[in-house]
Amino acid sequence: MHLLFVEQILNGLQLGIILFLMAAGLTLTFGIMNLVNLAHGSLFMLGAYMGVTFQLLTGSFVLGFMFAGVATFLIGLVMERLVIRHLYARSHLDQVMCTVGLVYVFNEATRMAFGPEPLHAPVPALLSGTVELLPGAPYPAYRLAMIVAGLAIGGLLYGLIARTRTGMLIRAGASNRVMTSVLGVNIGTIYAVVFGLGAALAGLAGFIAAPILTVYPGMGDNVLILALVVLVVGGMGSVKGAFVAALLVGVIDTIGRAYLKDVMGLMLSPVAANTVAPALASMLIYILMAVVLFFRPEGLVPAAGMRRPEAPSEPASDAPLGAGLLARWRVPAIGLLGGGFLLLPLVAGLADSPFWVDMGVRVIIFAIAALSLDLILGQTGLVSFGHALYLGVGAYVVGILADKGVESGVVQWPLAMAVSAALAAALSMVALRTSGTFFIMITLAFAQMMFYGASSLYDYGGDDGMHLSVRSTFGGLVDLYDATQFYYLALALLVVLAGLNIRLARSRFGMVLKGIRVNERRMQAVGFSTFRYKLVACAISAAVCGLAGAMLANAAEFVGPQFMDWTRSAELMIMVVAGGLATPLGAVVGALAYLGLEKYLSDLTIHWRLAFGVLLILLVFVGRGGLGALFAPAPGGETVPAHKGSFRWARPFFRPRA
Amino acid sequence: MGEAILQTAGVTKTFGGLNAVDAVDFTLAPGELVAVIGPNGAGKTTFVNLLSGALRPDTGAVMFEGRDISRLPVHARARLGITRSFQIASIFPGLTVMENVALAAQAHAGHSFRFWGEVAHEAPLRRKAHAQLAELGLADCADRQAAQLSHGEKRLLEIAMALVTAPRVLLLDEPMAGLGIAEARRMIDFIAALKGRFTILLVEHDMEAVFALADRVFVLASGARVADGLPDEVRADARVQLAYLGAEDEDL
Ligand SMILES: Nc1ncnc2c1ncn2[C@@H]1O[C@H](COP(=O)(O)OP(=O)(O)OP(=O)(O)O)[C@@H](O)[C@H]1O
Ligand SMILES: [Mg+2]
Repeated sequence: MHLLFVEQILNGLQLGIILFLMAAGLTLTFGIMNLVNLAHGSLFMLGAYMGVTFQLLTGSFVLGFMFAGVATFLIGLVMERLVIRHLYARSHLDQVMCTVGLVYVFNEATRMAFGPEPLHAPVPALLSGTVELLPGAPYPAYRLAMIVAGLAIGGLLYGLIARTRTGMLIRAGASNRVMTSVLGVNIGTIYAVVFGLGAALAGLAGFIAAPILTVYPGMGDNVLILALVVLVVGGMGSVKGAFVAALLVGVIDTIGRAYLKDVMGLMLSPVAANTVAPALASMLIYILMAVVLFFRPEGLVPAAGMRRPEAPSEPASDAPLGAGLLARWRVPAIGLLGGGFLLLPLVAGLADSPFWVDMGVRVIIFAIAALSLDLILGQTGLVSFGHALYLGVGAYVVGILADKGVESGVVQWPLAMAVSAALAAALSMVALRTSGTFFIMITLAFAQMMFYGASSLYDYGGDDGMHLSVRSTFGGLVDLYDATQFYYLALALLVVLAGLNIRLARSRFGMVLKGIRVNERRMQAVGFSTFRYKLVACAISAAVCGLAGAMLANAAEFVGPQFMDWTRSAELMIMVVAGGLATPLGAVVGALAYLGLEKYLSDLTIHWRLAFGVLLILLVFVGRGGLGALFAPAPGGETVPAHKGSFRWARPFFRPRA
Repeated sequence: MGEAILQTAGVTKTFGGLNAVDAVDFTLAPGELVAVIGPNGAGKTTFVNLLSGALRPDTGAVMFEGRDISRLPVHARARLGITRSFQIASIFPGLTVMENVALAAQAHAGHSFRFWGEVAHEAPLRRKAHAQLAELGLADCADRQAAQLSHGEKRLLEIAMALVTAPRVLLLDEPMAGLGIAEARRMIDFIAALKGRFTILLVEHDMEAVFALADRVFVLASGARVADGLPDEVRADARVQLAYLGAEDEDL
């Protein structure tokens, strides 16, 4: 037992070291460039792939190691030059969207280059044996070497930052950006080097971890989320905090998984312990994060010298490309959209493509989910990156109730809404104590926590999810097994919710949300308890998303943790942004565009995610304001003549006929 | 000092070793206009933040009508009637001028957990906002986007947002900062008109304005109180000249 315990502690340290190498780069880029880089996990993956490939090629582990570091450093430099550099001055939302686009691109490019099968990473012969740390407790030499190597890299990093001239500049840049650039230091070069350095650390971490993990496209994403937890726990921008938090998270996670069942067995019945412990163990670090945040919203070791500016910098307000371009077609476009939705089942029947109706239901469900996200993201300006959580919660409520024999939608659906709202209220109590980047990462981490929680519901399918035994019944009024009836029910709900959304935006409450988005500090100074309003907005939003989840469970006849995967949250966010923030129609257009494009591209090629990632990046740089902006009335209420500005060439196409 | 409406006792705020506000005792009597002056970085804005609740004091207490409010958050103090303007004009740029003021009025007209009725149709709010804008000469811009206002108009708008809440204490952090001569004049006249009707704490660098407006002048330097008295006394005070006026001679 004791020996085993030592072994588990070592395993925990080894996970912690990997997390530290990941988090170090993240925390540097955040502290110095104020950048949220969700593509950091991709660098982890690239380091693993590149290093292992080179190792297999040359037969040398050391060469593989060096190649992983150098290659990811260079990739980091290129990435910084081409994309990242243009994000520093952008909003966190833009940064999130764009780096998610990069994740799509990297993951898919890797799949294309290396195939979907996992790559086997050999352990070097020298380290393939075991070491007897304590008599009778052999421990794999490689894992021990990982800890040593990780500590060595961490030490080098410390030396670099604390002792060298470059390090001095990095520290100066972190504490006072303006000053450093005034002093004539080329701040752009420092940024590039820091980013490359972070990339190399992630790449090395990926390579070191490759032999004990599975090397597959997307392997970095889970590590990234753990690293984000580390970042939040440690305090963003603080390398020291990242180190402490990484070891803490690594050890707690490992020990929790190993011993929680035994500990809980002391208090609960074995059966209860067996069901609860695995779920709790996988949620443990997220709970740790919540507790830390509750008492220390800045993290354990808040970065020194990060001064909040007195006034929020006003966002650059260049109009999105082509804004108002199609303004004169606003009404016809809305008519077309409405007509299309209304007549879809009819058209599908005529075209003998019943599949269209199912697709339509899907679009409507996601439009409702996007609409709910827009309430907090678009109207309140809270960048929530875990909204799919409530899609999942709503679905599970329906799934579990159906399993227990409660089949009435009149019970299931409101309950799905209530549970989602209650959960959102509880989680937001913690999440709303933070703001900005912290908020993004916490919502993401909470969603991930529930994802793992749901994956451990072994009675309800665990990882695999479960089949929905029966669709919700509505006392014979609506039959969800009839595609057309389901479609019109969903459409009616969408119309009602969109109407409520418009009303709400114009109400007192909506005005408060708008004020919070524009200038929260002013709202407080004027006497609004903004926390309470945000809390209620989160709960309402979650309730509506829970409803979408309940419908999704019925449409898919399936309930699973996949519903709350972080990529789902990203999808919802993309829909809202693509359609246009803070416009009820935007959510609908966004859902339609996203799912339509997904369908179209995925029919075209299995590597559609690559194209999708590129489109996403373009959306951030070119399509600000989303599709909705194309149709938006120009500021001041007048429509822009179609031949103004850079779209002069399009004049002949858009000139109305006399 | 029984009649003080706002009072501090030994408030201190430290930023990483630097005492931005250092054991300051301060009182503000109802109806009084006190100017707080001091060189750049003296801690004036930090002091205003301590009064408004944006910062919590490390030690010492802030009292409002004899009640300790040191731990109350900003919005709660605003509801008690402590309202402020910011050194860097802080408005809602994306909203119209009317909406800016109506939103401020809304904060003091019952709760805002109302999800249905259109706020634009709430006559009392609009009426109040309109009267306030008229008083400041902004009635003509009511329907313009706040972002399009001139710098001086933004400052006035900010004060309109504070006044519409019928504040008990008005904290003005450099309302003249960045204004042209004509606009500054307009602002001085306006503040002079407020004098007596409201209790005002005015942070200001413009000495002409300070000595024209203030009943009392409170001098901060390096976070600590250097002098507190009638304008003429303070002007004559050798310590003030040393700590402040001497250093800022060229500004006078
Ligand atoms: N949030 C903060 N973190 C760290 N230091 C701060 C912070 N706010 C203020 N300071 C420091 O406290 C001191 C006082 O600042 P403050 O802004 O209160 O001065 P001030 O008198 O308002 O100056 P000014 O006339 O330039 O407006 C300054 O040295 C400033 O750098
Ligand atoms: Mg100041």
